[in-house]
Amino acid sequence: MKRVVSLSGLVLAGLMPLAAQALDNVAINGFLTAGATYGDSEVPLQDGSFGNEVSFTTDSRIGIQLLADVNSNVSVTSQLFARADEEAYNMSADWAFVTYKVNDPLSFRMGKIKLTTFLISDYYDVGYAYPWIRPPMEVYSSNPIETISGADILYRLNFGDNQLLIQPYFGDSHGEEALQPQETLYDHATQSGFIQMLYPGISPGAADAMADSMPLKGDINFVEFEVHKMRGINIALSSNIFTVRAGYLKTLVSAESFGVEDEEAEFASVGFTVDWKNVVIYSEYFERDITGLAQLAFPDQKGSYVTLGYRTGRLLTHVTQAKTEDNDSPATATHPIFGPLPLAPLEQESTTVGFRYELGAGAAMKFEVQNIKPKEGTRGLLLYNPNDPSTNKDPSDSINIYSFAIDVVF
Amino acid sequence: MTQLKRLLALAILAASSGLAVAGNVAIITHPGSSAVGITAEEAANIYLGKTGVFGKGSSVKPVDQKPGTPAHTKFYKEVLNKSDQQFKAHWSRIMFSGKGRPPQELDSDIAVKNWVASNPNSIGYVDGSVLDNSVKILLIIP
Repeated sequence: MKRVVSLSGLVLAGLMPLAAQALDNVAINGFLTAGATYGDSEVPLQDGSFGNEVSFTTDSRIGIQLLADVNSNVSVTSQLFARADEEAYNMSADWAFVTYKVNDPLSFRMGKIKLTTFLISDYYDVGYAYPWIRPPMEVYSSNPIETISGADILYRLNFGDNQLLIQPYFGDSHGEEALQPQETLYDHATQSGFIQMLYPGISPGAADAMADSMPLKGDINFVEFEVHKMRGINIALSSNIFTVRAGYLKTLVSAESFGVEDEEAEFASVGFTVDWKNVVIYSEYFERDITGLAQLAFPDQKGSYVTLGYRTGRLLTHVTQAKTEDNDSPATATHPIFGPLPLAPLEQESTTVGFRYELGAGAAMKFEVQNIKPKEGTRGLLLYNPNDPSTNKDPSDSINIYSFAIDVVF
Repeated sequence: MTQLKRLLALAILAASSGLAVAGNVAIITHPGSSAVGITAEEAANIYLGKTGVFGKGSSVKPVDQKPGTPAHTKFYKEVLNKSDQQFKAHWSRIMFSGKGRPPQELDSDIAVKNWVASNPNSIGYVDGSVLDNSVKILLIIP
């Protein structure tokens, strides 16, 4: 018995340094945003967020990241992520990948990786890492894909305090969900008419019942889509003061419920950011180009924003002007059954005034007021046109959103 | 040859010991390192995660001090040119995009000196008052 005890003692003593070693090789970090939003209009955004009441779930979220060094060349990174309001965003953001570091400038990553299409898409959910409560939607909502299953190469070249990043990537994405545009949803009578056209001989009552069970105009509906053979590149040049980046990707998109199969999509974006003395600037531009029927869900769009900020001590005051507009979309896309269907690009402008106050290192408090103005006669990124008396009791050409948030990293 | 190197290191230490006083910050490495010096820009690149190598391509592991120590304040202001908040935001961008992790933080000058003295390929910074020959000095920030 005594021998057993001393043996296990030996084993324990032997394991102790191993355990300490293991802990040294694993880093657990996290981020959290607790937010409150209020919209001054009955008209919500097209994803259903920002209603005419105080919401604590729109922006609130938490993420935990685990990084483990397997050896000096191989590491594993994974992130678990949860939103308070899964309904509104419905994006799967948890990712996990293996990094193989060949040498200092060159690494390969494989697994479920973040798709870098914009300046901050790598850390889109980490509110602490950027000035706004949420990145400008006119640009950031244009790409519904947050992660891909695939591989990328990180090639980082240093000269002086500058670094050039060249990041080609390849992959697929399954089970993604995108908001179905309101323009492809019909009121009950029209939907019932389509069903009678589709199933000749069906009784009007049965067609009505079928229409009832389908998403109709005014509903917030997500459609599943898949991307295959995505290939793209992200190039960034950064110093201690600025970052300039450009990216381009090409992919095939399928959405079964729309009858879309392997339509080609292209996405290009450029942007820069400056953080110099008391001045903070962010600006980005994108163009989205899609062929065929997929345009019903993703019309050709282009968009941009400019953010100017000024830091006084712990306070950053910033102003953002953003817009999204048509990128020469054709007037219609031809559906095999319903014939030509009208395409409706989403056009709007918004102005945001915001404040970020540092609560020591690792925590910040933010407040923002955003005015969203859809192009006259259209709904922009809202659920419906706020100026249409038939859908809105209190017509107005713009809506305001007030937001407060606390961002923490730990 | 080894003896010559040791003599050289001692000479460098002796020459710089006049600067090794409280209030100065010294960037230090393991005594076995072949490096003989570092520029403030090279040190900033290592602490900001832009490079993981130093000198003739050997990998380097930086160690940081917790905010609040005089050495931390001086190092951030004069070498990194960043506030604690800017440093934290910078690293949260790298860390949460899965591209690296920030330097480990230790509590005091002594803890950093001891850690550097016992870890080859390490680099740290300490107040001049704690320097001794258990570590090699790469740069003095007066």
